[in-house]
Amino acid sequence: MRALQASTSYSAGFGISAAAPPPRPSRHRHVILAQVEPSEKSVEIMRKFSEQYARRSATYFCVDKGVTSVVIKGLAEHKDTLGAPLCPCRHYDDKVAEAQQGFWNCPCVPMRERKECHCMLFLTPDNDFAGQEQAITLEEIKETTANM
Amino acid sequence: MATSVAAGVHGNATIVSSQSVNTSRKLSHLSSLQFPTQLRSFTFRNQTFKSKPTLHLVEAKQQTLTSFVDVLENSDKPVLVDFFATWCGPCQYMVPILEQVSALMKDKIQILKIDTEENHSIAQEYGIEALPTFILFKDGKPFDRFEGALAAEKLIQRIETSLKVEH
Repeated sequence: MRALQASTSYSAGFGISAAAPPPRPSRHRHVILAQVEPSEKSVEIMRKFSEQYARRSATYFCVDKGVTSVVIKGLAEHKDTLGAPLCPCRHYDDKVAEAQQGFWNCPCVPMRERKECHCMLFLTPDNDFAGQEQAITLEEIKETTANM
Repeated sequence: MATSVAAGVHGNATIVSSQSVNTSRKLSHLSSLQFPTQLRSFTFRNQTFKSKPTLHLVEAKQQTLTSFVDVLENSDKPVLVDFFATWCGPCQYMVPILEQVSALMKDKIQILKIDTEENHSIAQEYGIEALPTFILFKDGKPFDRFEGALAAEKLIQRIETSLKVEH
């Protein structure tokens, strides 16, 4: 893990970045769009939420901000598609039902009750992966998830 | 505790898939399609290794449960399956670690990555909840299971300890 580098890039999935040309309609319908990037608006909302909640819960972001960034984007993606920031570090039988039920909507019950965040988004100071920061910029999020 | 990795390893990897899709937009896990631009060296236990691009780390795309079980049963080595999701932070954290471990243990295990968003039935079959979940299979049967990200050294220790246990 490139934990000590200034920026860490994660590769996973594809977004349609602002710089890319819009997809052309193709006669050959074999192209399947895989992972879509969350909206900037939702990313910003979840970024602000994460900063506030870390402060409020006296928890810290991961030493590797790439982890933080991926989770923030995952929360944003679920907010876009489900209307609620369902935890992105879980597999669900029925995501829609789970988002409505609420147990795993961030901040999830385990976090609220026991400060347990297996996403490594909010880390108690004693956690080996905990850094010193409770802030993350949009720039950091973009840089560390640049090749996703 | 910092991870013991000094630098990432990029190995060659293929996608095991019944669909032949080559467009970049199909990629749901870029690292598994990385072509080795350069061999990296990394240190582990105070030794320096160079990665060799070999087909030891595989991501399965949209497998049926049957084909998945086939892969497990027909493997000549134990298979470590990594159940992940794209936007799961700890899962992405594990990407370079798995490449490293795969290179170091290539004669002992096969590593297989399953995107739980693309392989819902497989994830359901094995009761996957928290991500990442790792299941070590021997002869197609799960015999060790653990959740969460961990450093390369700890992962290797866990695998080696498991492999020693007789069933």
